[in-house]
Amino acid sequence: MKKTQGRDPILKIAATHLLAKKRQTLVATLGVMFGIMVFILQAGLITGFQNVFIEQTINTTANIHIYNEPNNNRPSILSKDSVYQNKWVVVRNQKPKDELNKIRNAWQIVDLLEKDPEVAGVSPFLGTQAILRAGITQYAGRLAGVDIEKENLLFKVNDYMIEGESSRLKTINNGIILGSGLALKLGVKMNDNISVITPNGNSLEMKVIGINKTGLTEVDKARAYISIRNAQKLLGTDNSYITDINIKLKNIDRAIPLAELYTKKFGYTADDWKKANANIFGVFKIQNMVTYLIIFSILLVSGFGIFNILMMIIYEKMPDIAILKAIGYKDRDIRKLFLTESIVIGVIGGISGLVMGFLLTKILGRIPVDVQGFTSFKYLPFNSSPYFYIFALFFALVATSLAGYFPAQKAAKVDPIDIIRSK
Amino acid sequence: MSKNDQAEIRNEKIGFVFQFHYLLPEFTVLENVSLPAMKLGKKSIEEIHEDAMSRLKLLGMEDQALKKANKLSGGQQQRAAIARALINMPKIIFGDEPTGNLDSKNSHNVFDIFKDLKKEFNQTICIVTHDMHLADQTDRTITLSDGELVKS
Repeated sequence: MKKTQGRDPILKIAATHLLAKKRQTLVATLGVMFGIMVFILQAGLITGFQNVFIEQTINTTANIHIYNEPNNNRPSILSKDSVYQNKWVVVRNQKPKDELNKIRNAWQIVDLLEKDPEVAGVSPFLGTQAILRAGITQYAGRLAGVDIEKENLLFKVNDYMIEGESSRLKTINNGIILGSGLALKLGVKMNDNISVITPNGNSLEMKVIGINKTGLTEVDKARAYISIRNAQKLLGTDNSYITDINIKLKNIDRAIPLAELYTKKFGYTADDWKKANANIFGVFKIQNMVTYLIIFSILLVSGFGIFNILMMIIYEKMPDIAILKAIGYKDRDIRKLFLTESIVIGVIGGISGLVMGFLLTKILGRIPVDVQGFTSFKYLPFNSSPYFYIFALFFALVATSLAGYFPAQKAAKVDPIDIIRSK
Repeated sequence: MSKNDQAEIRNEKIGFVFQFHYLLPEFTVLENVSLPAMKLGKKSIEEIHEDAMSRLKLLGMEDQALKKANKLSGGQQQRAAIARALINMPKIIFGDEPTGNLDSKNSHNVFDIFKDLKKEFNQTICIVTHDMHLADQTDRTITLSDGELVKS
């Protein structure tokens, strides 16, 4: 049996139908295009923003953070006494046990962790609240007492310096590195002197040896780096006093199991970076859901558009359908005809939407913006992941085939006798 | 018999000529005539077009082959429809008032074509008509009145 070479008449008929209704076809195609384009833009922008944020977060929070969580739910000692067994014991105004929230044997833990083959870097940390004062302006900040070399291994502090060298924290006595927002609020510049006052009343004159900008506005507004030794001096503690240990792993995906392991091993709370930023990942999840909802609703609307134009074509082309059936075309040929029409709209609209979306992300990605909010960046950070393009095209095809299926089914069921008899 | 089997029989064994031509208006006469053969799919597109041209020649339509169907006159459209009915060499042609929409000159013309087909190709043709003048020229006339057989 020889094959009918080349053009399937069905395809040509489909093309004629669509061209006969140029304006409606154009509108339906633009509908699909617009939906896909918006999805590419929206998904690209949202996930691009999320990636920047995650990257900044990873660079500024530890993969694993070990600290001594103060236990405020201490049971009253009275309830442990056998005399009061099975009796109500009420202790009013119970205060937390007065204990230092330091990590015992912190330096030994640091040594042990540094020998762990899965660990890329360990940075001991001593944090405290403090008032920073320059003349009469004063602001509350968070002091981070660090070993700057180790801190650099974890957080690349030096990469975020806008003025000064972070390593001078080690060489200059009483040096302090301010966050850019904090420096701005205090109105101080490099080499200015400020006073640092801790909650327990100690104060120290310190010299600004650097200004640091991470891009996370909340951090830049509050954090100041000092050396661990200065932090211990300010808190009036001995040189074994460390409140936190930050760990950077070679493989960030191992954070969760290793955090559990360290909690058991050292007896202190160890949080992985996802847990420490759980609220942010929750927000991301909702943002992503909104993105998918938007593409769903836009494609729903364009799906109705396709449905509409096909129904119009079918009513108008009833005689064509009838004669095609009379001369031997089967139900499935007619179904294929109208499905082809909707899929053609889907493919053309989908691909042009992808192209438009791609071009727009490139154009919008070049427009400088100066966003200072949750996080800061100079250009809109679009994520052009091929996954979105594949997903968008797939979604467009599913939506248009569905929109085409019902009219196609209706056309396939047309009884040619009814049409021909009525003419 | 399934609907698909019925469609295959209509395609291969039966040619239809209706009162209205039912040509696809945006397609050329040649394409319209070729449609049933393309569905049958037993020949290459070149052979189908050759067949279609020979049918059109038979009906004196060869110079209209590349015109769009909606650019033809009523008589020409009906002749194109007959060419379409002939393309797959059907065993029988059913005509449902095939001359009903034509003026008397064109209906004579169409009827002459049917007679030629019968004479030259031994083509079986079954026609329903109200035109007794046409009916008188057939080999056999069956008269129906309100669905009842009156004379055969």
